[in-house]
Amino acid sequence: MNDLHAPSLRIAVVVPRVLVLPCLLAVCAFAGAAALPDVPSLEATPLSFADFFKHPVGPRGLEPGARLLALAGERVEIAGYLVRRSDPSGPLIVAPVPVVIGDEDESFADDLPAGVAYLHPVDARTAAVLQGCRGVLRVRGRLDIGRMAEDDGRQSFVRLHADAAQCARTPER
Amino acid sequence: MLPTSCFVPAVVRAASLVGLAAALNGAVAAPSVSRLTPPSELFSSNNPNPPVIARFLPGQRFDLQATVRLDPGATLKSFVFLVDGIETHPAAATTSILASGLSLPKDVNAAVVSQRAYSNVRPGVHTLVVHATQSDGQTVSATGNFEVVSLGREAQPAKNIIILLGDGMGAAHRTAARIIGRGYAQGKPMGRLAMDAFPYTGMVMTSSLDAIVTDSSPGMSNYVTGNKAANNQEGVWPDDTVDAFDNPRVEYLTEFLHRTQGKALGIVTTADVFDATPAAMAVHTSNRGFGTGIVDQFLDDRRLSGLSVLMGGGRKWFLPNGDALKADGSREGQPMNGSQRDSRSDYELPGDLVAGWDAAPGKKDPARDLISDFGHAGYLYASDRTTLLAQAPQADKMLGLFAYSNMNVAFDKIGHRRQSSTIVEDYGFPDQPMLDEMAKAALEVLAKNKRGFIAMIEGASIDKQAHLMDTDRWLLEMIEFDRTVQVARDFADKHPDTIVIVTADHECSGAAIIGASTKPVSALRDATAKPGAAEQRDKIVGVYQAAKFPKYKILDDGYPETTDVDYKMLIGYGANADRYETWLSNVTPTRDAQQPFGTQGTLGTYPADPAVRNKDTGFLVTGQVPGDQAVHTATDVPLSAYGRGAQAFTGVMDNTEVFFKLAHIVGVR
Repeated sequence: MNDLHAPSLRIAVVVPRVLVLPCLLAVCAFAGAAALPDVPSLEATPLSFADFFKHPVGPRGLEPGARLLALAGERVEIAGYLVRRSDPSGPLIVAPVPVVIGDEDESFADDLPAGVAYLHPVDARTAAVLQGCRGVLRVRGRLDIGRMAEDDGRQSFVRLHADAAQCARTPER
Repeated sequence: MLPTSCFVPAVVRAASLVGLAAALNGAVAAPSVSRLTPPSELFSSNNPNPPVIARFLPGQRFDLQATVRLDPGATLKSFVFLVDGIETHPAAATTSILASGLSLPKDVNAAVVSQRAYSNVRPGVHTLVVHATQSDGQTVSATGNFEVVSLGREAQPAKNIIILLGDGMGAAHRTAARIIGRGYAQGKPMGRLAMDAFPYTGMVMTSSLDAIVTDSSPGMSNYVTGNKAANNQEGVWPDDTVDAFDNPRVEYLTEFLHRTQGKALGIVTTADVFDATPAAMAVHTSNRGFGTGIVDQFLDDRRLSGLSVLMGGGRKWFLPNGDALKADGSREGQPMNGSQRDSRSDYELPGDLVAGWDAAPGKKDPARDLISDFGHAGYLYASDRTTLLAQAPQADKMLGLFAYSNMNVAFDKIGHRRQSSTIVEDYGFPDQPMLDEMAKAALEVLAKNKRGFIAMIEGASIDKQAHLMDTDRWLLEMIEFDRTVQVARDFADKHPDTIVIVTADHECSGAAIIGASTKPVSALRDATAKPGAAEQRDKIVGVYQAAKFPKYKILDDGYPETTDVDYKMLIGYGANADRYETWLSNVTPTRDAQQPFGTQGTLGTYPADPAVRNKDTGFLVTGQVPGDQAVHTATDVPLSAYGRGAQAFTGVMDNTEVFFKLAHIVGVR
């Protein structure tokens, strides 16, 4: 009797180990995800928003967290929500909670948490991925800290020079 | 013999050619006036019986200004303003001619002429004329008008004014809050909101100087200056200069009453304190986004406004900030404190404005430590609820900054207090007061001023959440706001020389109570598995008698146990952007932004914005407006009044008329 599964099993057995992980990633891809490039396998240290500044915030300003300071200049990975803007041409920001900013009646009286990261894509591919992103994303790149004036008139304190990104949601259909 | 016409003398022929050339080139060059301030329909239109646009209290200060278009290469030699045919004789150093830094096209040669802080005490309509003389001697004039309003004598003036401002709060928002907060039975409400119990109610027209639909800047400014401001501008009129802080000013009620009666000013908001509504009580600017200058002016011009209490979010503007780069190009050592102070949004006033208004000149100083400066000026500082409640009893001036930007909304603050949500912690400011707690503390401080006060207390995020069409969050903002109204009423009951008004700057989102769910909340959740109008609209939305009377359980803290009740009230939006509707409250995220990407947790499904929110679980409601957010509407808003002089607030009134009613009530004549 032919075992219909046997050939498949034999194929699975002979799949080189180097291809197993990419296959699993493909299987685990989010439903409906567009054909996004894989995040490069270069190492990146996970960095959470909780590590940006000391929580809770004291009576004055923010105080950078020890882990943030230690990882300055290193390659890190941040997972969060891409801030949605009324004016989509503004800088890219990733935040720990979903936020919409930029309504005409809001100006800088916004709902942005203090701990956010501005994203500066280093290449066109990464920029395209980020521009099309809605909601949750994972982004990797070199961590840059310190005050800097951004194009939207805000001051940023944490920036990621992003070289890889992947979104949980497809670009709007 | 030739016809007579052929023998036209040469000189006549030459003159004819010149005249022809002039006719072909248009009118002979001459200066003109393109703007006259204060604005008047007499100047702007050919209406023989124009309505008077600019109206003032006797003695209320305002700037006179004109933009004079000059001939190419010419300059402005001199100018004078006349009121009722008589020169105004301005005080020394209170006039200016500005020919650079204009916001006109580069090929336009013009000058802006100003006279600062003019005032007139004679009631009636007055003619305003500007005469300007160009460098070649040509002159130009323009005519406008303004009115000084005659106020009758108030036999028993009020000492205190409390303005409760529900940003974006229309009639539907109020009704919805009553349904959720009090409930109905057999057609009757089981209780009234605090604002319902105010005995006098009128309707307010909210348009701005330049549009039927206002934003929050003129929305507040119009109430407290008696004059229309343009969108994005507060306490000023438009001009033709680039500088956002040199616009022609009109004196705020707060400034007028501090100057003439010694009243103090309190500003309390759940927004960033630099936001339009709080700023439009004391700050003069044509750019509501210039946060550094706005918060600096709060302190610098406290002698003008009488500012004694300032509370809300927006700590980011009060922290010192160094220059972007050090001399060696490095940023090392620059404070990473979150400061958003910036020279670009700071202010420095021209000399005529400083002299005319006795205003602080200002300075571009992003490195300023404004919290410390408030402290040096005698303000006690509260950074959270705990210090607020501890400090208020001994403060006669107070600064409270409870969040980095806007404060968290009531829905999330209550969730934090009930330990059912972590979003407030995620923002880093877990001990934030509720608006009614802030109001109570503020009034306690302000009441110490023997000459009375004006307080503006704003529920800011009714509007912000209505923009996002987050029904459940603006409903709880309304509950928080109404609890604050009760605090104000309680104060007025103990201090009967107080007038309290509850109103809005505009309506937001076109909110409408369309009915109620005909299904229990479990069915709403089940329907998210089959999103679409057939399941989520046709089988769920109950209209007319199918709406019945939704019931919500209110806990001891005064807020609903949940907004996701069986047969819940349903809200539609008439000024909405596209959204996907499930009729369920939007869950708060867990603190799992740092969880490994790719898990099937909340992180992967939380909505990012209204257009995408619930995209896979809700049915599409197509919006009337582009973009992602609902917008303001031009709909009139209700105003309710309590206390001394409250009977003045009935009928349909313009928001600028509220200014004169309040002035009359506190005894201005």
